[in-house]
Amino acid sequence: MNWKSTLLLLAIISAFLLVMLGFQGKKEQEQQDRPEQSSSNISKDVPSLIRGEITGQKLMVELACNACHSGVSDSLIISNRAPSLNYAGERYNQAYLFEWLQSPKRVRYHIGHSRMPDFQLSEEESLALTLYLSQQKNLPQPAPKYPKLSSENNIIRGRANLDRGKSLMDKHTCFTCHTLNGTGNLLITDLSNSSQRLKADWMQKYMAAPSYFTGNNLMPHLFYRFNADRTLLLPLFQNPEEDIKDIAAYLFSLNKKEKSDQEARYEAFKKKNKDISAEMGEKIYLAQNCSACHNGPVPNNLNIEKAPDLALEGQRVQKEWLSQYLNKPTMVRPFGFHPGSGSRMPDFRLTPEEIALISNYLNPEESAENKFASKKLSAFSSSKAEKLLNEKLPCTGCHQLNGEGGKIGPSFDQIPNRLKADYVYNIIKNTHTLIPKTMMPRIPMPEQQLELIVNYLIQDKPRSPQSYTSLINQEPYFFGNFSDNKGLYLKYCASCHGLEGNGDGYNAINLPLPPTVHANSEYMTLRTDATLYDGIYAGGYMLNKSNRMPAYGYTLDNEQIKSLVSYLRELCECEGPSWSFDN
Amino acid sequence: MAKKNKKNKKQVPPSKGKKKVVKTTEAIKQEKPQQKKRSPKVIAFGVLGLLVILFFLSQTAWFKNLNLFSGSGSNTSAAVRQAFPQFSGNINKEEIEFNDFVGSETCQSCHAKEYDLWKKSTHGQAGGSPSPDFIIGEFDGRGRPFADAIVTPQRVGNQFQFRFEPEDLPAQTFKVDAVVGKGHMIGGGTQTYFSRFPDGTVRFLPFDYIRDEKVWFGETDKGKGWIPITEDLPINDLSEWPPSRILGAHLSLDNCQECHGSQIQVKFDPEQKKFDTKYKTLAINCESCHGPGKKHVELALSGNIDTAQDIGMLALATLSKDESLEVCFRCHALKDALDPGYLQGKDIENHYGMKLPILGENPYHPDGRIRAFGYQQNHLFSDCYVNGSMTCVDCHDPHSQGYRDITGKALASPFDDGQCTGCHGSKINELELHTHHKIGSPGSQCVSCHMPYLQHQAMGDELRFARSDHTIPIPRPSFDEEIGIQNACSQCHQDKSVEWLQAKTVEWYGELKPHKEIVANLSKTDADMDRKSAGTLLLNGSTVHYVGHMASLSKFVKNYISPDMASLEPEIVDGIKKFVESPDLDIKSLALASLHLAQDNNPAIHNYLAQQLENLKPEDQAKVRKRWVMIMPYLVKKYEDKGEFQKAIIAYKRALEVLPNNFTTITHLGYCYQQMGNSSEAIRYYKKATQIAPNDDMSWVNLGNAQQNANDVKGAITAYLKAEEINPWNAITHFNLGNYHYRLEDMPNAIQRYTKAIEIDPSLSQAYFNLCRSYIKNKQFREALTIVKAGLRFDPINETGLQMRQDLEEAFERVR
Repeated sequence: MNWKSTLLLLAIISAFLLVMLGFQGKKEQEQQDRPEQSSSNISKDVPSLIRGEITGQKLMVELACNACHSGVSDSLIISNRAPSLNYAGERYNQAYLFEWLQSPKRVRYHIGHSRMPDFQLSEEESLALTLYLSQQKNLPQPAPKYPKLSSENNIIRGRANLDRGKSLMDKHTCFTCHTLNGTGNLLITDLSNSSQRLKADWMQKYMAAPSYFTGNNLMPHLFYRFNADRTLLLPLFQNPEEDIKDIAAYLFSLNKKEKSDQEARYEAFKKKNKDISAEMGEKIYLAQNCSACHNGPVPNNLNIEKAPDLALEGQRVQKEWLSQYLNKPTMVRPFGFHPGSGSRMPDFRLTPEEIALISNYLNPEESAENKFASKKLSAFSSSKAEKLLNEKLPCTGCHQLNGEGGKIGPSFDQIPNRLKADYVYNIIKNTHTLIPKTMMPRIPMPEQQLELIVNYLIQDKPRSPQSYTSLINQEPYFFGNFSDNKGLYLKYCASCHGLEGNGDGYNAINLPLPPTVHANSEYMTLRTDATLYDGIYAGGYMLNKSNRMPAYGYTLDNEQIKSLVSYLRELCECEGPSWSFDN
Repeated sequence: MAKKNKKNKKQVPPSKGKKKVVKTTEAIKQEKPQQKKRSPKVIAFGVLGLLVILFFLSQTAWFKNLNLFSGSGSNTSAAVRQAFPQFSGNINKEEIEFNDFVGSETCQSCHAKEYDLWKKSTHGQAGGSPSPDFIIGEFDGRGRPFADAIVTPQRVGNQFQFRFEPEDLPAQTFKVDAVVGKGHMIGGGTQTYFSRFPDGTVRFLPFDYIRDEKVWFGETDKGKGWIPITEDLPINDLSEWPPSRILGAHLSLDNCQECHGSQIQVKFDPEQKKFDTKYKTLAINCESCHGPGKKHVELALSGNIDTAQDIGMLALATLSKDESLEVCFRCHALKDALDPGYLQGKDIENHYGMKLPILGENPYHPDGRIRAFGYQQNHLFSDCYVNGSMTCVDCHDPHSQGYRDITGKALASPFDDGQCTGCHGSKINELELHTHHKIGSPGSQCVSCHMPYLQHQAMGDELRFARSDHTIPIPRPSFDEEIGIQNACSQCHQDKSVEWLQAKTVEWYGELKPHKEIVANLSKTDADMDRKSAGTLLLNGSTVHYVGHMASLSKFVKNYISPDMASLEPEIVDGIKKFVESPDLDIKSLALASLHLAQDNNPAIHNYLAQQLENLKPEDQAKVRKRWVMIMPYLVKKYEDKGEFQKAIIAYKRALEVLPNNFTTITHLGYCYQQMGNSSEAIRYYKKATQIAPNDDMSWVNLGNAQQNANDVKGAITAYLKAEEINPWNAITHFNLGNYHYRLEDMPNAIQRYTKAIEIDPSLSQAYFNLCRSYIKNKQFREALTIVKAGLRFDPINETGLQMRQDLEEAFERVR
């Protein structure tokens, strides 16, 4: 190594440290007691923790929990760390994306504790997302004028001096930051499988002008430099395109078998699933809130509330459950956070140490004082509670009970392991005090009945298997502004009654009785405005209809219910019967 | 109304009207036993509106497969006719007994909170033993004069009594043994008193007390309703004088059913030869709603109650709308008895037909407003029921009897808007816009207009007895005027005319909400309408409205269906068949019975009926068949009234195809043949009745009468004596034995029998007149005059009685 490359290395390391620390603000003084955990079984490809360096709060910033959740610190670093997806189609091999999205592995080693989590996508969902990402070919503008680089075909077929390419990598100090089959320093990425991962064109373009893609990135300009107005690439030595070609061709000569197998698998699956489209992928992209971390085709900050407020997590969930959940998140809300966003809690492949940090941070030790005095129910009381839930109360319109019921909120079958009794009691009794903006309605009931229901919900019982609603079969609901009439309808009604009032909301199939079709003018014209109001106010059971339709009289105010009634009239394009209007 | 309804039943034993079947000797042939009218009395108890219409069928154990009487009355070829499937017996298991009930004090030991609420409630205080705490009537020792008697409510030591002193006759004292009601009801609360009689029954005394007016009153049967006791009122104008209506239900006595107390059981004890009346309490106890507690208590004591899925109790809070209503309607409803021996916890459908009274003198106006009683059950006409889920307990807390809203929040009073606005949120914020009355004013309260307290029409106007309108209507001043109901507005605006009120209503609310189609159709049909047009209006069961269906079908069937009709329009047959599909068994059975009566001679219809019987669910077999045969008398009543017994016989023979060896049907047949003068057939059926129910004394009396008619004097006396052996407390038996002795010119024995009959039933006026004749024949003229005067109190226009009195008085005049 000459002095130049040493200097470069130093610069890179200091830049790296800056990125690591730059956005984390002052060091928190909080000392978390981390429980001793064996790390012998850690097989996850995640960064190892260095004791004392990071707190739960900081880790959550690194993981960008705030991208979906409220109640945690903002993470300003994440959009710098997550790769832009604007030109994912230019950059990534589709076959690689398809498999990697289903089971992301660590690729980049310079982004601290940040990582791409696993969204538990099915093959179909992954295909859709891959197709969508592959359409993204918006290279940064303005683009510089590139020198003529070798054709993709040449690179892939190895029409180059591969031996030279191999030795050039050393010469160009690649291994200062990259590894290749065990050689080098793994500071940025491992290049061993880059032939599977990347497109040849993009690899060459990137080598030629890394800062064009990623700003003041760590990757130095080794072959070209920009002119002053960054419109031209000026060679740093003679014929750098030859070096680029040889290096790229060398990298593409590796893992050829894996690459072609991977592509064959992808093509076969794609062929079998011709009905899966990029549009579906776009929905998934939105549903999983990819733009919260990645720059890409959808602007950041959609301001969609997608996940529970983590400030409440300590009140809400049991410590043990939280640890298990962080270790391997399982479905809680079948179709995502309300109102059916399709969002999922991804698996961050946390190490036991990380899990401990987060769960200690979110869920301080149980306080000895439990306000709700839980009581073991008799067999009779249990069946009474069950019958009330199934036939009288609206709860099972949104929540599953014994494998039956709505799929808007979390299944009741998870409660005994997951939630604290106090929380269950409070969310029913003081719904909006606890979570002001929740779509869950408050259903007042006698204290004795409330206690019966809570005791029933928290008692342990066999759980039926749960899985996410497929984003292929069901379009997620994206509701933006909830303040106008339509917004209210979308938030509170559309999940069952459908976006256009056709009774075909995503939750409709889970209900024993079909939801009213608000667009049906023949029917709706028989209902008076007062009946529509009262139905919203007091719920379906009162109208001799489905008990699964909740009473919103204790959730929405008079003006809101009136707005909904007038929106129903817009949907049906009708009026109530003539006699129903006072003089 | 229902009152007449009961009277009609009296024509046929073994219902209450056994007096009418008494056969008299030639000597007194012209004198029919007097019909003593009975007004629906239960309201007098001050708590419940409840009518008693009894119609007992034979015990299920007697339903053997004997087919002696199963021949069809039809005369058409039976070549392609399917036989009706045989009734395989009652599968509804009922093992609940009086001893399965543990009483509220036992419940208290675990359920103290509920017990305490209940104890203070109107149910907890519904009735009890006479005690100074419980009695609200003035037992002050002051005589209350009638026109011809003085009644003195008095307290002697710890006893509460009525001293009864009639003119001419010896004084009597009735000790109060039971008290029902405590004057709880807002619209007029009363208290009623019972006394234990020597025959073991506990009988209702006709002197009631009303809380607000603070007067003693009685129910009259002269169309005056309830009136205070005054010097103008003859004692015999009281419908319940002399006391004959019993607490509890028995097939052969006027009664109050099982509702004015808890688990009341009346059984005739053949050993003691008298009635055995028992009850857990005169309050309405826990088990009245929850059912028998024995199994539950045993489980609790065994410590296994927490693991038992069946704890011997239902969770009443989880009942469906109709199941929940049924718990209350056990008492708070008009109902026809199908089978004796109902106890809470048994399947009420097996014992009572809730909608059958509609087939009698329909207790409801077309919109469900009551004509007489049963103001709770007409909730079934309300929009809150028909298009909603409302049950009693949505407003009435079942333990405290206090008021609450739909979420269970306690409300201060029955006038609290929360009862309505718990569902009708649309009215909360724009209350004044809706009511046109200032917030806080009486007119602003929901119930002022939608559940006004309406005076019960049958009570008259002298005493306030108003109950809130549970059809929850909208005010329609003109319509209400048409059907004779006070409209809500004029509760306050008494100075305004109906026209003014109607105009104001329209000014405020515009076009009024139309009545439901079924109600509108009921109003539209009248007697002059042709069958087809009426069918179009009444046989339309498209909307779910069961009481409306029952009212429509009943109206149609009673006006347009007769036995063995030559033809019936296919539209009408189809219309009735639609009601056969009804899940409501009363409606289904009525539809089946009417087709059976009218068109059984049509093989297609006959086979359809056979198929319907075949298709019945096993648990519905007994219920439908019992209703079916019970409906038949309703359908042919008008023919019996006209003396066309041959037509009635068609109905009863059809009934036997459905339920062979049915005691009631067989008795009806005996009665019809008796009336037609066909003694041999009458004897055949009455004999059959005594075989089916050997311990029914009235059947023996009927048999004796038929045998007497056939001049089988020996057979007659044997039958009468058998009846007396079974039950020495039956006045009719003694009366007929008196006739027997009279015919043999054995006056001392005749006098003794008639005297006994009068002692048991002082209202049996014919016994007085026959006794008078016996005294005359025995030359005891003074006794004869006294007794004929006493008889004329009950039947003042009886010509024979009047003649005898005149003859006797003239004779005495001449002697003097």
